[in-house]
Amino acid sequence: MIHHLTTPLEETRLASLLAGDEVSISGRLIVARDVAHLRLLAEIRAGRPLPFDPRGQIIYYMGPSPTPPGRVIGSSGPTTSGRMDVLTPPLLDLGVKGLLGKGRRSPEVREILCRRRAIYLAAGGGVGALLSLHILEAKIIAWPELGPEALRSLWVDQFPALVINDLYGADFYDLGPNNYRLS
Amino acid sequence: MWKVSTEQIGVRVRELALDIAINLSSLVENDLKAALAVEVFPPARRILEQILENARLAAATHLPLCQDTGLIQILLELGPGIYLSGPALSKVVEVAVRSAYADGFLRKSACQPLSRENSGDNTPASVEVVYSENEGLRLTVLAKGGGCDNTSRLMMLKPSEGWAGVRRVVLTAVAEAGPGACPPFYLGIAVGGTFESAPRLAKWALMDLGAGETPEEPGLAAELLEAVNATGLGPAGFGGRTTALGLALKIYPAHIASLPVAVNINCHSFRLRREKLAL
Repeated sequence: MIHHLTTPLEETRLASLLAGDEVSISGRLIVARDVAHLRLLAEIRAGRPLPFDPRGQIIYYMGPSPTPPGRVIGSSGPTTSGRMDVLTPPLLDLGVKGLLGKGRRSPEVREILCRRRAIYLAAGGGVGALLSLHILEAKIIAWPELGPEALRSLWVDQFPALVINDLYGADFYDLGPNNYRLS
Repeated sequence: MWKVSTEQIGVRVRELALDIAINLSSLVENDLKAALAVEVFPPARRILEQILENARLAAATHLPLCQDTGLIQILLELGPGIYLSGPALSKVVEVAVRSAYADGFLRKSACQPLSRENSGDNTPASVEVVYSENEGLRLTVLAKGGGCDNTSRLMMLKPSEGWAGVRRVVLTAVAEAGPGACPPFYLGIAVGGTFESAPRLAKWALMDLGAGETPEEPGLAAELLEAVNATGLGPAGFGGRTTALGLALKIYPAHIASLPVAVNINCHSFRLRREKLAL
Protein backbone atom coordinates (compact mmCIF):
# COMPACT_ATOMS: atom_id res chain seq x y z
CA MET A 1 0.00 0.00 0.00
CA ILE A 2 1.28 3.44 -0.90
CA HIS A 3 0.35 6.39 1.32
CA HIS A 4 -0.31 9.59 -0.62
CA LEU A 5 0.97 12.73 1.05
CA THR A 6 0.36 16.34 0.09
CA THR A 7 2.20 19.38 1.41
CA PRO A 8 2.04 21.23 3.70
CA LEU A 9 2.08 18.12 5.90
CA GLU A 10 -0.54 17.81 8.63
CA GLU A 11 0.36 16.25 11.95
CA THR A 12 -2.76 14.06 12.03
CA ARG A 13 -1.73 12.56 8.68
CA LEU A 14 1.80 11.86 9.94
CA ALA A 15 0.39 10.01 12.94
CA SER A 16 -0.91 7.28 10.61
CA LEU A 17 2.54 6.60 9.07
CA LEU A 18 4.95 3.95 10.30
CA ALA A 19 8.62 3.29 9.56
CA GLY A 20 8.80 1.21 6.39
CA ASP A 21 5.64 2.68 4.81
CA GLU A 22 5.93 3.62 1.16
CA VAL A 23 4.70 7.13 0.41
CA SER A 24 4.17 9.25 -2.65
CA ILE A 25 4.46 13.00 -2.21
CA SER A 26 2.59 15.61 -4.23
CA GLY A 27 3.06 19.34 -3.67
CA ARG A 28 6.03 21.43 -2.67
CA LEU A 29 9.49 20.37 -1.57
CA ILE A 30 12.06 22.87 -0.26
CA VAL A 31 15.52 21.88 -1.48
CA ALA A 32 18.49 22.67 0.74
CA ARG A 33 21.81 20.95 1.31
CA ASP A 34 25.04 21.80 3.15
CA VAL A 35 25.73 25.49 2.47
CA ALA A 36 22.03 26.44 2.17
CA HIS A 37 21.54 24.99 5.67
CA LEU A 38 24.39 27.11 7.04
CA ARG A 39 22.76 30.18 5.52
CA LEU A 40 19.29 29.27 6.82
CA LEU A 41 20.74 28.93 10.31
CA ALA A 42 22.47 32.30 9.97
CA GLU A 43 19.11 33.86 9.07
CA ILE A 44 17.43 32.21 12.06
CA ARG A 45 20.19 33.36 14.44
CA ALA A 46 19.96 36.91 13.06
CA GLY A 47 16.21 36.88 13.68
CA ARG A 48 15.40 37.35 10.00
CA PRO A 49 12.48 35.57 8.25
CA LEU A 50 13.34 32.56 6.09
CA PRO A 51 12.88 32.75 2.29
CA PHE A 52 9.96 30.28 2.68
CA ASP A 53 7.27 29.52 5.25
CA PRO A 54 8.69 26.51 7.11
CA ARG A 55 5.42 25.34 8.67
CA GLY A 56 4.46 21.87 7.44
CA GLN A 57 7.21 21.86 4.81
CA ILE A 58 9.42 19.00 3.68
CA ILE A 59 13.15 19.80 3.35
CA TYR A 60 14.76 17.74 0.56
CA TYR A 61 18.54 17.30 0.85
CA MET A 62 19.49 17.55 -2.80
CA GLY A 63 21.75 19.36 -5.25
CA PRO A 64 20.54 18.79 -8.82
CA SER A 65 22.68 18.47 -11.91
CA PRO A 66 22.20 21.43 -14.33
CA THR A 67 18.93 21.65 -16.26
CA PRO A 68 19.36 20.66 -19.92
CA PRO A 69 17.34 22.60 -22.53
CA GLY A 70 13.71 21.49 -22.66
CA ARG A 71 13.71 19.87 -19.22
CA VAL A 72 12.38 21.02 -15.83
CA ILE A 73 15.51 20.07 -13.90
CA GLY A 74 18.53 17.77 -14.14
CA SER A 75 19.10 14.57 -12.22
CA SER A 76 17.62 15.06 -8.74
CA GLY A 77 18.31 12.35 -6.17
CA PRO A 78 18.98 12.74 -2.44
CA THR A 79 22.31 13.45 -0.79
CA THR A 80 23.46 11.95 2.55
CA SER A 81 21.28 13.40 5.31
CA GLY A 82 23.67 12.85 8.21
CA ARG A 83 25.76 15.90 7.24
CA MET A 84 22.73 18.06 8.02
CA ASP A 85 22.10 16.49 11.47
CA VAL A 86 23.59 19.30 13.55
CA LEU A 87 21.88 21.91 11.36
CA THR A 88 18.39 20.35 11.53
CA PRO A 89 16.91 21.07 15.01
CA PRO A 90 16.33 24.84 14.45
CA LEU A 91 14.30 24.05 11.30
CA LEU A 92 12.14 21.52 13.17
CA ASP A 93 11.65 24.13 15.91
CA LEU A 94 10.16 26.43 13.24
CA GLY A 95 7.58 23.84 12.18
CA VAL A 96 9.24 21.85 9.37
CA LYS A 97 7.40 18.51 9.39
CA GLY A 98 9.33 16.36 6.94
CA LEU A 99 12.97 15.66 6.07
CA LEU A 100 13.82 13.83 2.86
CA GLY A 101 17.24 12.38 2.03
CA LYS A 102 19.18 9.14 2.40
CA GLY A 103 21.09 7.48 5.23
CA ARG A 104 20.87 7.39 9.00
CA ARG A 105 20.06 10.33 11.27
CA SER A 106 21.77 11.02 14.61
CA PRO A 107 20.10 10.00 17.89
CA GLU A 108 19.57 13.73 18.57
CA VAL A 109 17.63 14.24 15.33
CA ARG A 110 15.57 11.08 15.90
CA GLU A 111 14.67 12.29 19.38
CA ILE A 112 13.65 15.75 18.21
CA LEU A 113 11.58 14.26 15.35
CA CYS A 114 9.46 12.47 17.99
CA ARG A 115 9.23 15.55 20.19
CA ARG A 116 8.35 17.91 17.33
CA ARG A 117 6.12 15.30 15.64
CA ALA A 118 7.91 15.27 12.29
CA ILE A 119 9.12 12.42 10.07
CA TYR A 120 12.24 11.49 8.14
CA LEU A 121 11.86 9.96 4.68
CA ALA A 122 14.33 8.37 2.27
CA ALA A 123 14.24 8.73 -1.51
CA GLY A 124 16.14 6.33 -3.79
CA GLY A 125 19.86 7.04 -3.64
CA GLY A 126 21.62 7.08 -7.01
CA VAL A 127 18.43 7.11 -9.06
CA GLY A 128 18.29 10.84 -9.74
CA ALA A 129 17.22 10.49 -13.38
CA LEU A 130 14.11 8.53 -12.34
CA LEU A 131 13.26 10.91 -9.48
CA SER A 132 13.61 14.01 -11.68
CA LEU A 133 10.68 12.80 -13.80
CA HIS A 134 8.37 13.41 -10.78
CA ILE A 135 9.34 17.10 -10.69
CA LEU A 136 6.89 19.39 -12.50
CA GLU A 137 8.44 22.75 -11.67
CA ALA A 138 11.71 23.92 -10.15
CA LYS A 139 12.87 27.37 -9.15
CA ILE A 140 15.65 28.93 -7.12
CA ILE A 141 14.24 30.89 -4.18
CA ALA A 142 17.50 32.14 -2.65
CA TRP A 143 21.29 32.26 -3.09
CA PRO A 144 21.60 31.40 -6.79
CA GLU A 145 25.37 31.98 -6.51
CA LEU A 146 25.60 28.64 -4.69
CA GLY A 147 24.86 26.79 -7.94
CA PRO A 148 23.90 23.20 -7.07
CA GLU A 149 23.66 24.25 -3.41
CA ALA A 150 21.15 27.09 -3.98
CA LEU A 151 17.85 27.06 -2.05
CA ARG A 152 15.12 25.73 -4.36
CA SER A 153 11.41 25.10 -4.41
CA LEU A 154 10.05 22.11 -6.36
CA TRP A 155 6.54 21.12 -7.32
CA VAL A 156 6.42 17.35 -7.38
CA ASP A 157 3.86 14.76 -8.44
CA GLN A 158 3.76 11.35 -6.73
CA PHE A 159 7.40 11.59 -5.70
CA PRO A 160 8.32 8.13 -4.27
CA ALA A 161 9.82 7.84 -0.79
CA LEU A 162 9.86 5.59 2.25
CA VAL A 163 9.32 6.43 5.94
CA ILE A 164 12.55 5.84 7.86
CA ASN A 165 11.81 7.56 11.19
CA ASP A 166 8.17 7.83 12.27
CA LEU A 167 6.56 9.77 15.12
CA TYR A 168 6.97 6.81 17.46
CA GLY A 169 10.76 6.47 17.42
CA ALA A 170 11.07 3.51 15.02
CA ASP A 171 13.94 3.43 12.53
CA PHE A 172 13.49 1.49 9.28
CA TYR A 173 17.29 1.28 8.87
CA ASP A 174 17.18 -1.04 11.92
CA LEU A 175 13.86 -2.72 11.07
CA GLY A 176 14.57 -3.47 7.39
CA PRO A 177 17.79 -5.49 7.84
CA ASN A 178 16.23 -7.17 10.92
CA ASN A 179 13.20 -8.18 8.88
CA TYR A 180 15.55 -9.60 6.26
CA ARG A 181 17.56 -11.61 8.81
CA LEU A 182 14.29 -13.06 10.17
CA SER A 183 12.90 -13.80 6.69
CA MET B 1 59.69 4.58 -28.87
CA TRP B 2 56.10 5.70 -29.34
CA LYS B 3 55.18 9.34 -28.99
CA VAL B 4 51.63 9.93 -27.76
CA SER B 5 50.05 13.35 -27.76
CA THR B 6 48.47 14.42 -24.48
CA GLU B 7 45.78 16.13 -26.55
CA GLN B 8 44.72 12.72 -27.90
CA ILE B 9 44.35 11.56 -24.28
CA GLY B 10 42.34 14.68 -23.46
CA VAL B 11 39.86 13.93 -26.24
CA ARG B 12 39.19 10.47 -24.77
CA VAL B 13 38.95 11.80 -21.20
CA ARG B 14 36.25 14.21 -22.31
CA GLU B 15 34.32 11.54 -24.23
CA LEU B 16 34.54 8.97 -21.44
CA ALA B 17 33.54 11.50 -18.76
CA LEU B 18 30.40 12.31 -20.77
CA ASP B 19 29.64 8.63 -21.33
CA ILE B 20 30.04 7.36 -17.75
CA ALA B 21 27.79 10.06 -16.30
CA ILE B 22 24.81 8.85 -18.33
CA ASN B 23 25.33 5.26 -19.46
CA LEU B 24 25.55 2.51 -16.86
CA SER B 25 28.30 0.06 -17.83
CA SER B 26 27.21 -3.37 -19.01
CA LEU B 27 29.35 -4.84 -16.21
CA VAL B 28 27.29 -3.08 -13.50
CA GLU B 29 24.04 -3.83 -15.32
CA ASN B 30 24.92 -7.53 -15.44
CA ASP B 31 25.91 -7.53 -11.76
CA LEU B 32 22.55 -5.96 -10.85
CA LYS B 33 20.67 -8.55 -12.93
CA ALA B 34 22.67 -11.38 -11.37
CA ALA B 35 21.84 -9.99 -7.91
CA LEU B 36 18.13 -9.80 -8.81
CA ALA B 37 18.23 -13.44 -9.87
CA VAL B 38 19.16 -14.54 -6.33
CA GLU B 39 17.65 -11.77 -4.17
CA VAL B 40 14.28 -12.86 -2.77
CA PHE B 41 13.62 -10.16 -0.13
CA PRO B 42 10.94 -7.88 -1.68
CA PRO B 43 12.30 -4.47 -0.52
CA ALA B 44 15.74 -5.41 -1.90
CA ARG B 45 14.23 -6.52 -5.21
CA ARG B 46 12.36 -3.21 -5.51
CA ILE B 47 15.56 -1.19 -5.07
CA LEU B 48 17.54 -3.31 -7.57
CA GLU B 49 14.72 -2.93 -10.10
CA GLN B 50 14.59 0.82 -9.45
CA ILE B 51 18.35 1.12 -10.11
CA LEU B 52 17.97 -0.74 -13.44
CA GLU B 53 14.92 1.38 -14.36
CA ASN B 54 16.92 4.53 -13.54
CA ALA B 55 19.65 3.38 -15.93
CA ARG B 56 17.10 2.89 -18.72
CA LEU B 57 15.61 6.34 -18.08
CA ALA B 58 19.03 8.03 -17.92
CA ALA B 59 20.00 6.57 -21.29
CA ALA B 60 16.63 7.56 -22.81
CA THR B 61 16.59 11.12 -21.44
CA HIS B 62 20.36 11.77 -21.45
CA LEU B 63 20.06 12.83 -17.81
CA PRO B 64 22.94 11.77 -15.54
CA LEU B 65 22.41 8.49 -13.64
CA CYS B 66 22.95 10.42 -10.42
CA GLN B 67 22.90 14.17 -9.73
CA ASP B 68 26.31 13.76 -8.08
CA THR B 69 28.35 13.34 -11.24
CA GLY B 70 31.41 13.13 -9.04
CA LEU B 71 34.99 14.23 -9.20
CA ILE B 72 37.08 12.68 -11.97
CA GLN B 73 39.94 10.32 -11.19
CA ILE B 74 42.28 9.42 -14.05
CA LEU B 75 44.82 6.60 -14.14
CA LEU B 76 47.18 6.57 -17.11
CA GLU B 77 49.45 3.53 -17.48
CA LEU B 78 52.39 3.92 -19.86
CA GLY B 79 54.02 0.78 -21.22
CA PRO B 80 57.72 0.46 -22.10
CA GLY B 81 58.98 2.93 -24.67
CA ILE B 82 56.00 5.28 -24.60
CA TYR B 83 56.44 8.96 -23.94
CA LEU B 84 54.01 11.88 -23.88
CA SER B 85 54.24 14.95 -26.07
CA GLY B 86 52.23 18.13 -26.20
CA PRO B 87 50.82 20.32 -23.40
CA ALA B 88 51.11 19.23 -19.75
CA LEU B 89 48.80 16.28 -19.05
CA SER B 90 47.28 18.04 -16.02
CA LYS B 91 46.30 21.02 -18.22
CA VAL B 92 44.85 18.80 -20.94
CA VAL B 93 42.76 16.88 -18.40
CA GLU B 94 41.57 20.12 -16.83
CA VAL B 95 40.36 21.39 -20.21
CA ALA B 96 38.69 18.03 -20.97
CA VAL B 97 36.86 17.88 -17.64
CA ARG B 98 35.75 21.50 -17.85
CA SER B 99 34.38 20.92 -21.33
CA ALA B 100 32.61 17.64 -20.49
CA TYR B 101 30.93 19.02 -17.37
CA ALA B 102 29.74 22.16 -19.18
CA ASP B 103 28.57 20.50 -22.39
CA GLY B 104 27.01 17.46 -20.69
CA PHE B 105 25.02 19.45 -18.09
CA LEU B 106 26.91 17.56 -15.39
CA ARG B 107 27.06 18.88 -11.85
CA LYS B 108 30.10 20.86 -10.78
CA SER B 109 30.92 19.43 -7.39
CA ALA B 110 34.46 20.70 -6.70
CA CYS B 111 34.87 23.40 -4.06
CA GLN B 112 37.45 24.97 -1.76
CA PRO B 113 37.47 22.84 1.38
CA LEU B 114 37.06 25.61 3.97
CA SER B 115 35.30 28.48 2.19
CA ARG B 116 33.14 25.89 0.28
CA GLU B 117 33.40 28.12 -2.79
CA ASN B 118 32.60 26.07 -5.91
CA SER B 119 35.31 26.09 -8.60
CA GLY B 120 32.48 26.22 -11.14
CA ASP B 121 33.96 23.75 -13.63
CA ASN B 122 34.48 20.53 -11.61
CA THR B 123 38.26 20.93 -11.66
CA PRO B 124 40.73 19.91 -10.42
CA ALA B 125 40.59 16.24 -11.41
CA SER B 126 42.96 13.69 -9.92
CA VAL B 127 45.57 12.42 -12.40
CA GLU B 128 47.94 9.53 -11.72
CA VAL B 129 50.55 8.37 -14.24
CA VAL B 130 52.11 4.96 -13.80
CA TYR B 131 54.97 3.34 -15.70
CA SER B 132 53.71 -0.14 -16.44
CA GLU B 133 55.39 -3.35 -17.55
CA ASN B 134 52.47 -3.96 -19.91
CA GLU B 135 52.74 -2.89 -23.53
CA GLY B 136 50.77 0.06 -24.79
CA LEU B 137 48.88 2.90 -23.14
CA ARG B 138 45.90 2.32 -20.88
CA LEU B 139 43.49 4.99 -19.69
CA THR B 140 41.04 4.59 -16.79
CA VAL B 141 38.44 7.24 -16.01
CA LEU B 142 36.39 7.07 -12.81
CA ALA B 143 33.73 9.57 -11.73
CA LYS B 144 33.24 9.10 -8.02
CA GLY B 145 30.49 10.66 -5.92
CA GLY B 146 31.12 12.27 -2.54
CA GLY B 147 28.67 10.23 -0.48
CA CYS B 148 30.56 6.96 -0.85
CA ASP B 149 34.03 8.53 -0.94
CA ASN B 150 33.32 10.03 2.50
CA THR B 151 32.96 6.51 3.90
CA SER B 152 36.21 5.05 2.50
CA ARG B 153 38.77 4.20 5.21
CA LEU B 154 42.48 3.67 5.91
CA MET B 155 43.46 1.83 9.09
CA MET B 156 47.02 1.15 10.22
CA LEU B 157 46.64 -2.14 12.09
CA LYS B 158 49.11 -3.90 14.34
CA PRO B 159 50.69 -6.83 12.47
CA SER B 160 49.40 -9.22 15.16
CA GLU B 161 45.80 -8.39 14.12
CA GLY B 162 46.33 -10.32 10.90
CA TRP B 163 43.51 -11.44 8.62
CA ALA B 164 40.92 -11.20 11.43
CA GLY B 165 41.84 -7.52 11.72
CA VAL B 166 41.46 -7.03 7.97
CA ARG B 167 37.97 -8.58 8.09
CA ARG B 168 37.01 -6.36 11.01
CA VAL B 169 38.17 -3.18 9.20
CA VAL B 170 36.22 -4.08 6.05
CA LEU B 171 33.03 -4.98 7.93
CA THR B 172 33.27 -1.88 10.15
CA ALA B 173 33.76 0.36 7.10
CA VAL B 174 30.71 -1.17 5.40
CA ALA B 175 28.59 -0.88 8.57
CA GLU B 176 29.59 2.76 9.05
CA ALA B 177 28.98 3.53 5.37
CA GLY B 178 25.52 2.08 5.90
CA PRO B 179 22.48 3.15 3.89
CA GLY B 180 23.78 6.68 3.22
CA ALA B 181 26.57 5.64 0.86
CA CYS B 182 24.12 3.99 -1.59
CA PRO B 183 24.57 0.23 -1.27
CA PRO B 184 24.96 -2.18 -2.99
CA PHE B 185 28.62 -1.18 -3.05
CA TYR B 186 31.72 -1.99 -5.04
CA LEU B 187 34.72 -2.39 -2.74
CA GLY B 188 38.42 -1.98 -3.55
CA ILE B 189 40.56 -3.30 -0.68
CA ALA B 190 44.30 -3.08 -0.13
CA VAL B 191 46.17 -5.02 2.53
CA GLY B 192 49.77 -3.92 3.02
CA GLY B 193 51.84 -1.12 1.49
CA THR B 194 52.23 2.09 3.48
CA PHE B 195 50.12 5.05 4.61
CA GLU B 196 50.84 6.46 1.15
CA SER B 197 50.38 3.42 -1.04
CA ALA B 198 47.56 1.44 0.60
CA PRO B 199 44.79 3.86 -0.50
CA ARG B 200 46.35 3.97 -3.98
CA LEU B 201 46.36 0.16 -4.19
CA ALA B 202 42.74 0.12 -2.98
CA LYS B 203 41.87 2.55 -5.78
CA TRP B 204 43.63 0.32 -8.31
CA ALA B 205 41.71 -2.68 -6.95
CA LEU B 206 38.45 -0.76 -7.35
CA MET B 207 39.40 0.26 -10.89
CA ASP B 208 40.33 -3.33 -11.82
CA LEU B 209 36.92 -4.40 -10.51
CA GLY B 210 35.08 -1.82 -12.62
CA ALA B 211 37.09 -2.79 -15.70
CA GLY B 212 36.28 -6.48 -15.28
CA GLU B 213 39.91 -7.56 -14.80
CA THR B 214 40.71 -11.09 -13.63
CA PRO B 215 40.65 -10.87 -9.82
CA GLU B 216 43.79 -11.17 -7.69
CA GLU B 217 43.51 -13.21 -4.50
CA PRO B 218 40.16 -14.68 -5.63
CA GLY B 219 39.73 -16.90 -2.55
CA LEU B 220 40.28 -14.17 0.05
CA ALA B 221 38.26 -11.64 -1.98
CA ALA B 222 35.34 -14.08 -2.17
CA GLU B 223 35.53 -14.65 1.59
CA LEU B 224 35.37 -10.90 2.30
CA LEU B 225 32.51 -10.40 -0.18
CA GLU B 226 30.53 -13.20 1.45
CA ALA B 227 31.10 -11.65 4.90
CA VAL B 228 29.94 -8.24 3.62
CA ASN B 229 26.82 -9.74 2.09
CA ALA B 230 26.07 -11.67 5.29
CA THR B 231 25.57 -8.35 7.14
CA GLY B 232 22.05 -8.03 5.69
CA LEU B 233 22.38 -4.27 5.07
CA GLY B 234 21.05 -4.81 1.56
CA PRO B 235 20.20 -2.41 -1.29
CA ALA B 236 19.56 1.13 0.04
CA GLY B 237 20.08 -0.29 3.53
CA PHE B 238 16.53 -1.66 3.54
CA GLY B 239 17.75 -5.23 4.15
CA GLY B 240 18.73 -8.00 1.76
CA ARG B 241 21.59 -10.23 0.70
CA THR B 242 23.03 -7.77 -1.84
CA THR B 243 25.17 -5.37 0.21
CA ALA B 244 28.05 -5.40 -2.27
CA LEU B 245 28.02 -6.28 -5.97
CA GLY B 246 31.76 -6.82 -6.16
CA LEU B 247 35.00 -6.75 -4.19
CA ALA B 248 38.62 -6.76 -5.35
CA LEU B 249 41.62 -7.23 -3.11
CA LYS B 250 45.30 -6.36 -3.53
CA ILE B 251 47.94 -7.66 -1.14
CA TYR B 252 51.33 -5.94 -1.11
CA PRO B 253 54.43 -6.10 1.10
CA ALA B 254 54.37 -3.88 4.18
CA HIS B 255 56.93 -2.60 6.70
CA ILE B 256 57.72 -5.15 9.45
CA ALA B 257 55.96 -2.78 11.90
CA SER B 258 52.81 -2.24 9.80
CA LEU B 259 49.60 -3.76 8.53
CA PRO B 260 47.78 -1.04 6.58
CA VAL B 261 44.24 -1.78 5.37
CA ALA B 262 42.52 0.57 2.91
CA VAL B 263 38.87 0.24 1.94
CA ASN B 264 37.71 2.23 -1.10
CA ILE B 265 33.91 2.22 -1.15
CA ASN B 266 32.01 2.99 -4.34
CA CYS B 267 28.22 3.32 -4.54
CA HIS B 268 26.15 1.22 -6.97
CA SER B 269 26.48 4.05 -9.49
CA PHE B 270 29.95 2.76 -10.42
CA ARG B 271 30.98 5.04 -13.26
CA LEU B 272 34.22 3.79 -14.75
CA ARG B 273 35.70 3.09 -18.17
CA ARG B 274 39.09 1.63 -19.04
CA GLU B 275 40.51 1.39 -22.53
CA LYS B 276 43.72 0.85 -24.43
CA LEU B 277 44.56 3.90 -26.49
CA ALA B 278 45.70 3.35 -30.07
CA LEU B 279 49.36 4.22 -30.63
